[in-house]
Parts: sequence; C-alpha cells; structure tokens
Amino acid sequence: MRADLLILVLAAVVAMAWLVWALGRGRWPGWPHRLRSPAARADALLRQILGAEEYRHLVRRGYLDVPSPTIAGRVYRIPYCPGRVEVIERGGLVARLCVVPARWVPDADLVLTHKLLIEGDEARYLRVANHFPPGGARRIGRWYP
Amino acid sequence: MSTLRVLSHLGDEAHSWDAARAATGDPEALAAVREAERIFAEARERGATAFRLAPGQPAEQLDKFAPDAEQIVIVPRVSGGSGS
Repeated sequence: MRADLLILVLAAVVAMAWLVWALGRGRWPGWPHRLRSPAARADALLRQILGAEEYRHLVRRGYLDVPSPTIAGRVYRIPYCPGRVEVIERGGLVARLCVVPARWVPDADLVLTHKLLIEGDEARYLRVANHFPPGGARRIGRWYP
Repeated sequence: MSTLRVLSHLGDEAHSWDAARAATGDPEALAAVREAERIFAEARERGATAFRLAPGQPAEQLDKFAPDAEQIVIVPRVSGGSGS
C-alpha cells in the first residue's frame, strides 16, 4: 500500500516538473538556457555558432583557427583560455595580439568575440590590438599589416 | 524566429522576434522587433559591435539593426591589452 502511494507521489512530482518545464518553454522560449551558468551558456552559444565538429576541435586542441578574410595565408589562432591571439603566416608564428573586452565575459564568449571581430572588421581588430613579437613580451605597436 | 544575443558577464542575453509575423503587421511581433531594435541601439551606444550571422557564412558587421537577420550577436567594446 505504501509502495503504491510512493509511486503515485513520484509520478505526480515528475508530471508537475514536466508541466512546469513545458509551460515555461512555451511562455519563455529558451528559459532552461537562462538557468545555466554564464560559462555554460557561453559554451552552448559557441557550440551552436561553430557547429559540433569545429567546437569539438576547439576543445580538443585548445584553440580556434580563423583564416584572415583579407590576407592570403594568414591565420589567427584564438586560444580557448584567455591569452594572446597568435598570427600565423605560412605555418610560422609572426606576432601575438592582445585584445580584451571592456567587461569580463566567459571564456567561450571571448573566443566568439575575437572570431566575429576578425571576420567582420579585421582592419579595426588589428588597429585596436596591442602587438607583441612572437617570442617575447615587448610590445611592438598597435598596427600590424 | 530571429534572435538578438548580447554577450555580457552573465553569458548571452537573448531576445527573439518573428520577422515573418512582423511583416504581416502583427502587433505583438512588431513590439518584439521594436524591443530588439532598442536593445541593439543601447548596446551600440555603449561601444559594442554587432554582427549578423548566417549558417556557412562569415560574420557581417552591422551598423544598423536588421530585422530580417536570422541571428545577430553583439560583442562588448574591446581595447588593446597586455594578455600576459
């Protein structure tokens, strides 16, 4: 008898939870997304924009390569963790760039910020960035051709 | 559905609207478009940059709100850093 009651209560709880979830989805599309941590939400957005395979490569390799939209043979290597973006030409590292957001954002959002700025307005990205030589910490200027 | 996402320290804040319904003059859909436009303008005033995203295409920078865009992502203002 008690087992029957327990099963009934559990079924009611599951049904209520499902109802709340379903109603919430209808009223506020994407609301389960809002319940996640900022980092988890940022990761989900990055995965959606990159696609599952490229996102998997990013996680596995620790960086995302974005080809230059204007300079043939140049690739920007964006680290998954905060750090300098590497400028690679014909397989060799030629400079490191540092661009930071005005306010902290989760790591995945930072990767997305670099990618969009490079693809959308590479010239401005290069003007804004501080430029460092491949091997050292000394800044070599703001502009890189 | 179209979506505007603003990146922030909270993760992204999303706002959606139905461009097809808005085109038919649906008041609720038009209100959602106006709200998205307001968020877009506010973010741009803070120095943020907006991009239109479409599957398989590179990001396109937006200076004006595009209600027909499938997805718009707004990234925060950036500056040069030390990155050490």
